[in-house]
Amino acid sequence: MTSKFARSISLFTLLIGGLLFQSVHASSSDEIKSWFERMSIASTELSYKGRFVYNRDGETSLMEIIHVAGDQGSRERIVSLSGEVQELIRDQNGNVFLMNLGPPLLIDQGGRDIPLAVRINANLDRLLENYTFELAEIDRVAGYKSQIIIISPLDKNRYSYRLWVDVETGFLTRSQLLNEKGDVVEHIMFSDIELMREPTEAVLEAVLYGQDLSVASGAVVISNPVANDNNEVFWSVSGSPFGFLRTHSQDKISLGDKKSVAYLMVTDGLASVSIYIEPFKDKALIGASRAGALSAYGRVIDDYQITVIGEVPPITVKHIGDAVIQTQMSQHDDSGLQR
Amino acid sequence: MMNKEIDECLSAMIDGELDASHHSRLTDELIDNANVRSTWQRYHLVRDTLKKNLPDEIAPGLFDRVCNAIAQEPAHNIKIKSETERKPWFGFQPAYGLVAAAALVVAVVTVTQIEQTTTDMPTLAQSDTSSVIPFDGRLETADVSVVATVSMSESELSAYLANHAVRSRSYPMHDGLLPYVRSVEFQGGR
Repeated sequence: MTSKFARSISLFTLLIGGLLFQSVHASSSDEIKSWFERMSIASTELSYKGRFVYNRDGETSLMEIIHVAGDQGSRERIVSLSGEVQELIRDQNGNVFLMNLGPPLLIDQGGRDIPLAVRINANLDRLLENYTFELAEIDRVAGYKSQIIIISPLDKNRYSYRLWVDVETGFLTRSQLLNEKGDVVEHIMFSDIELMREPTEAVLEAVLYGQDLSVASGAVVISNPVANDNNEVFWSVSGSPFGFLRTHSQDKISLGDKKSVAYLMVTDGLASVSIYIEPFKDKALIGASRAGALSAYGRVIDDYQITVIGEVPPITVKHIGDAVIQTQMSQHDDSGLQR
Repeated sequence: MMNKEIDECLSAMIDGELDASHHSRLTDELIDNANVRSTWQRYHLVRDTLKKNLPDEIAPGLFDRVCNAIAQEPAHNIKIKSETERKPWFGFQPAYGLVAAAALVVAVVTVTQIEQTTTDMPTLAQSDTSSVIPFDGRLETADVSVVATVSMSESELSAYLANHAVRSRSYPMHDGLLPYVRSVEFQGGR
């Protein structure tokens, strides 16, 4: 009698467990969306000051970040606390400057973030073709109870991510990027962090700039798009190699001292890969390699040098590079992905 | 982890020689243990002093503190990597880093497509040297049969990396944080 009762209990437990398991999986997509929405709010509304450990390719640094959120745009300052003193500032107009290199070095002019969560939620269906999203255990980071979110690729052609998200605020407290072998290639983890809805006076002062950071101060900008001409050769990517699709039509950019380089981008919704095409001269990257999270691949086709760079495995940049073809006319956005 | 083991791991981490199996445990210790963080920062102070990388604004009394720090640490724990021992990035030393790293900063900052700008300012890459660099990278994935060879200049390859970072929104997981970090890190002369 006892054993029958025990068996009944076991069966009941299994049944309930199975139902719960199904329930969790059925709701996981909504749950994931909910987490990314909260992350989005946290990234745009929270101000914070903290220190974090950054590890890339086996090397580790300690950095300090001060971030002030605001309706007119966020301001941010990052300072390295190990190695040489380095400092970087982003003003509320999105201008980004590298400091302590003589005059402030302007890296970019006027950009605004679209929060990660908005992009992920907008592309979630597409992302689910290549990735799975999983809520793992609760962990603790810098004293904050954090939900681990695992984003795993469905194949070996892209990297995976592990995110630790503060359960109260949605703030990203720790993250890892793992290559196709499961090795952590980049890792950020806050060791201490102070989150605030309203920035304190001290934090506000920390992102005030003592110098004129205008372009006129002699700052330098990295690269600019170049106007298309009538003789432009057009390029495309054949098919959708490993699920990567073009994000927009071909651009023509200046790159260093090169004034006319064709540019394409492909993405699987999460990872992005850049493709550069230019007339072959006497120097070229041939073949594929990687350093940390970045892979590069180069080939020469019809007297044009193709260079492919992205945060994906070498096999993927090669596959994408080999799919580049010349076309008769410009093609527009193939993917419909929100970037 | 025992104190001695922690010290050895900290030393290895600073040298970039900590294996993956210890890394996770040590980072947990760094989070949870203020003493470990303090020791770690002291190691960096010692290293930076030996490398003459100290900031201008460091607090007075530095000399004494550094002397004390050095006196407290066993000599074998302080391994300073020479420039030539550092890991190359795509086959060359990260001195190029300004271009690539600087642009990495922007990677997640602007998600909207870059609009055309009008400026006569020189590009950063133009100020770089154009010496041809050797490439010693080796492919890690057996699936790809071609191992890269490079005959382009450092500034050329840097320009690719920089532009990719600007346009690709690399590492979207970090909402702008990681590219900033990478920028500062490369700037730091890794």
